[in-house]
Amino acid sequence: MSQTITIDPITRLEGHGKIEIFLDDQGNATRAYFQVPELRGFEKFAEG
Amino acid sequence: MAKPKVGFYWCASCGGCEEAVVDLAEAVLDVVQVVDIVFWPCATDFKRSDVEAMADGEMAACFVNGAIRSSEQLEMAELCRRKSQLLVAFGSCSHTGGVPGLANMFTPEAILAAVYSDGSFSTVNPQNTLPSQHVASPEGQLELPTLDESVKALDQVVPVDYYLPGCPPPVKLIVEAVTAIVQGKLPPRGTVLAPDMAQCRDCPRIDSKPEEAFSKQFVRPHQIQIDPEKCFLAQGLLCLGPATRCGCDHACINGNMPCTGCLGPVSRATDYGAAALSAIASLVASNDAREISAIMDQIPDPAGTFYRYSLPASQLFKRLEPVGNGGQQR
Repeated sequence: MSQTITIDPITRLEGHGKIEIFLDDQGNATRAYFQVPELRGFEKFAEG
Repeated sequence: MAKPKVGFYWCASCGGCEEAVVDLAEAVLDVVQVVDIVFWPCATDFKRSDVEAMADGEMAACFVNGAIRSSEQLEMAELCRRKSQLLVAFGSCSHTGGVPGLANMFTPEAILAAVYSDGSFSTVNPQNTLPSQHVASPEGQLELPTLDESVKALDQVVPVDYYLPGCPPPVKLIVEAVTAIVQGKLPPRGTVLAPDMAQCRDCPRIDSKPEEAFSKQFVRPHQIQIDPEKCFLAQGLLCLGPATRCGCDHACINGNMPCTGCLGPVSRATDYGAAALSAIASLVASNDAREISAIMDQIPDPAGTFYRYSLPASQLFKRLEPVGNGGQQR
């Protein structure tokens, strides 16, 4: 049966992150998604 | 006896608060001798599921830095609150909203557009794909946290027991706080763990502080050669020391830069920015409304100057019609 491995949060580094790894029926990784669940918006509020 | 368990967590922050813990240097060895660190994503491998598996109140204390601005941060703040006996707001963002709190001048939509839309800064995104809460990938469903309408300080979402102020908190205050927690010698709940007096009280430059209104002009640090001995206010620089709590041993002032107010207000002030603005306005040497207005207009970014670390915790909280709604500033 296909399975998902979630690494939340990724650790021992400076920053926020989460990884979802999807496995196929044989338990091999088919795809991994790296997500950054953090946004502060410096690009906007530091304008000017 | 088992060592008390402590955790560190970060929300909308910059990583500087973790640096402050690292700045403990050898003192961090004293800390780990007396406490067990059971959660600290920056430095240890414990996951969210490890915290969820803890009994309620299992951590003696959890230090949370960063402001709260997403659904995930709210969940983590609630989780850390439930699992700890003491919740400590660590640093300006958690204490009063901090620099990320300046995002309350804008809507989340305006922020997302500035960061992700095609052609903004260095972004190439011809399909204008924006982050969304649910994404159906071919392999399965992906979830992202949502951005809240506004940024909040930690105590605006969960009850907070103590506050360690500063951007980041000075090492000395961190050591004193950890020692007090371990020894159980804590002041009443709700206390800000820093001396309750203004920077000016023991400022090395206090003797040259102007005692009456004198200023017709404000300047910025890059515009003048700053005298390293003289009160910044007497030099026309905006030093927010009169409104700011001390506890940093005048780190910026001793580096010949004016205080920007990261330690927040003393306990008598309810609104840091208003107190700071009042301190500066009282220096303006004029009784003519138009002239006063012209002098104050020399301050280029009033919100970012007076509320740099505290917009969410202030009585203003946010811009009523944030830019991005098509509204005017009120």
